[in-house]
Amino acid sequence: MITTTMLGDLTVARITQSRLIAANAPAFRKEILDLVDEGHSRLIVDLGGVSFIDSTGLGALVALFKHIGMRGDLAVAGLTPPVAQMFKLTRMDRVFRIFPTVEASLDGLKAA
Amino acid sequence: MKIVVADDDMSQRLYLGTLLRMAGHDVLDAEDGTSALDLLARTDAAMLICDVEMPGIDGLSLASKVREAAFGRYVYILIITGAETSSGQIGGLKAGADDFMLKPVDRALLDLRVAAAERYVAHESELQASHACLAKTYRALQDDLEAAASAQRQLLPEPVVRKAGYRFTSRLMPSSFVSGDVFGYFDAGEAKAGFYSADVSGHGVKAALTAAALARLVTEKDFGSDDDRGADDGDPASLSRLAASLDRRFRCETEDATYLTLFAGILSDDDDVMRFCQAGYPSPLMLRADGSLERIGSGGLPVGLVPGATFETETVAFRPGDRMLVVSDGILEAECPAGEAFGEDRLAAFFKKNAGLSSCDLLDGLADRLRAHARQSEFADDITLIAIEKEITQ
Repeated sequence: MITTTMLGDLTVARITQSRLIAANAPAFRKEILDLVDEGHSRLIVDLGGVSFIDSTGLGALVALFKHIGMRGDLAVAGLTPPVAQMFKLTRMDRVFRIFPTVEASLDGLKAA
Repeated sequence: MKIVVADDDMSQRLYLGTLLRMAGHDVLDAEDGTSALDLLARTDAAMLICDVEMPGIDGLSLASKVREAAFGRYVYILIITGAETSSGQIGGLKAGADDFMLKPVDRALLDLRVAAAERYVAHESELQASHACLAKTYRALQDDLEAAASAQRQLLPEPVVRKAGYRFTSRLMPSSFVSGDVFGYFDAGEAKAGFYSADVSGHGVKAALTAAALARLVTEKDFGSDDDRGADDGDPASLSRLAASLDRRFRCETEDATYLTLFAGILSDDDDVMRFCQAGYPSPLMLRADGSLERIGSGGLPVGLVPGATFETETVAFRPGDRMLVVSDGILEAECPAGEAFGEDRLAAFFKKNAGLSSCDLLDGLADRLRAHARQSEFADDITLIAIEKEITQ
């Protein structure tokens, strides 16, 4: 469900499923939390390929946010309009660091 | 094993019967196809050995008749032929035979063939037993879910409820029996009505259990109708307090990321105002008496999702002739076969276009419109539809 690219100490995790929903959110959650546990704690989640996210998908992203906590960095990038709307409705746009593109998030996290 | 031997030639019957009895089998003699079928129907014989050439019903027709009749068990069919021709064998297999033997029948070979048949029949009956067991379990689960669904309906308000000059009309369409959507209405003190609509993340039984717990936790007191808390009556902070207390409750109880979204409101007849708290729940649509459409609220953190969440109570006018539509995200996300979600624009257009309908007809029409969009009667997520209107009084 995820393909990863290493850029220095940053890991870009691109979600390869176009829909993050109840059917695949638990698997995604496990995969991405395992990634953090393997040491990828400075993470950019690329949502550019995700056209739809439901409440369970959002729950999985928040679980990732909590899991990283203070030990690393997390940014999400490339929100498509329906996903951005979901983030806005649930105020997740104030919880996550959001960047329009992966490139922008690289700069954002490096500057941090 | 109980075996029916069908052959019009008595000596052949006798020969086969003797060999099979010597191997310990229970043999039933049939001189033609009709009596073979009769024996299979009357007994629990698990195997048929028949000659391909018989007057009346021949071996191949007999095989296909046995398959047609089925008998509620598997009957293994071994056909004895005079000549090995591939066309004869193909015909036999098509008719439903399992195996062939050439005349003259060799004893050792017959024993092996029958032993193979026994294995097959035993496997077949095991499958049947496990299938019956699954079917029974499935029925029991289905009954349980239906009972749970009916218990859950008891937790919900009637389709039409009047409170303090407001009329609430609702429809709930669970995605499968039970629902993670829940809602309720309350008296909220003098000339005030309270309501909430909540959606537990996910759907199915797990979400439904959380929804049922929530239905018990939210009470009239949360809407300020308790006499002991008369001072809080209509206090705009009471709704954010409700959200905050649910947030604490559900955050510590759920390790597995189950959370909920909530829209709660207090409608005040005296000053034509609605106070509300929106916690991640989709913005309701308000169709004003003058025909204009507004989206209520801009969003808010869900309940039980992020630590340290705070919630706000906002205020909006709600006048006679206004009608508000509160819907769970299941309706917005319902997709047509090509994958396009129903979306807020379609919902808004439908609402505006059908402004003249009564709330009951509006919601039924919307449900029909939704089924037409999704091209199916069942949806991937639970769907709640609530229409709230302020009744015009003289």
